[in-house]
Amino acid sequence: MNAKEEKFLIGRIIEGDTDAFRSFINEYKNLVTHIVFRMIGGKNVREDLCQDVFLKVYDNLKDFRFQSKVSTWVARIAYNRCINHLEKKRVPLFDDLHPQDASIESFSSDPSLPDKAAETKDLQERLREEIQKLPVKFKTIITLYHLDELNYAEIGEVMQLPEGTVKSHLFRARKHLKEQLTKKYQKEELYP
Amino acid sequence: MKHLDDEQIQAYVDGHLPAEEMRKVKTHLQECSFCRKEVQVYGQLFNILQQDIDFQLSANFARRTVSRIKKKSLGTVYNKLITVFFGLFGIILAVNISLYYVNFTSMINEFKQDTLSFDLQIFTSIFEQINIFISQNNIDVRIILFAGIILLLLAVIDRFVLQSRTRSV
Repeated sequence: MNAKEEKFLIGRIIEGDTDAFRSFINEYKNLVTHIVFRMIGGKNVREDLCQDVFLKVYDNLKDFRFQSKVSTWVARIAYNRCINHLEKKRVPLFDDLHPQDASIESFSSDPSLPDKAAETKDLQERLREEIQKLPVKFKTIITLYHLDELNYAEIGEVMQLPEGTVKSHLFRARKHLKEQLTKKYQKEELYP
Repeated sequence: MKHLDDEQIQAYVDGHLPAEEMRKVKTHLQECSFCRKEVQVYGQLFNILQQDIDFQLSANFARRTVSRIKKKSLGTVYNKLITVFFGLFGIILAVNISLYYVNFTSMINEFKQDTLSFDLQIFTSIFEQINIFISQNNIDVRIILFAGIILLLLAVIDRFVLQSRTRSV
């Protein structure tokens, strides 16, 4: 959807068109789901939180001035909603990656990951587990960059972080994931 | 041989390297099997990170969200109507209680005679003029009164029902 179509759609929503808001939800539900599902562990609250995000979007749509992309604005609302939820649950939000987790020796020999279909599925599963273990800001950045294809500046806008910080966090998170995975596969000798 | 560092490899796989550095990295990769494997690992990792799996909402999510919004706004309209109802009820009750204990008639008469006598004279003359105009032009006052009531009703419906509904999709 281009900017003109978005503007038209939002205009219709403000005028009270229910179908237009349904289209809006369908357009942005992937973005919202990616953020909420990655940031929130509890499976039973995720969908309610996604609904909360769209309620908030709906309430604030009339005040949106198109100074940023609609996707960035929606993502920021989703991110802030999740942060509020995590704060209430007293989940640590400012954790950093632990240096001891990123062992250099882990990939000193053969850094290959499995490449057969079944093994790749196992790898995907393991990777999901590793992503869930990442501190909140790191997994959010990975999600916004790889799944939603936001650039550094847009991620910075969503998370209120400088572009350089986003870039450095993304680099560190991906390095960490690669090291965790190669370490696991070599240690357990699943795939020599 | 010095290996490529992780930053260079990630930027290479992402396609974010400047042209000159990209050329150098490609040359290095032709000679270094270790770095080639590193590139493969990162490539595989990025592919998995881009896969949109495990993010499924229920099939009727959009419909349920819209009905939640409708329900919420309908609740607001009812709340407003209930507030108006109880407000009016309270005023009527207060006036009735006051009338029971206080002799308003004598108070109002005193007020009319003293303070409002001058203002009342003005209003009376205005009404007299209107009355003369109506009788001269054969205008039925009931029609004006009826139109006024209709307008008042429309204003109330617009304020408490239509405007709220428009805001609520």
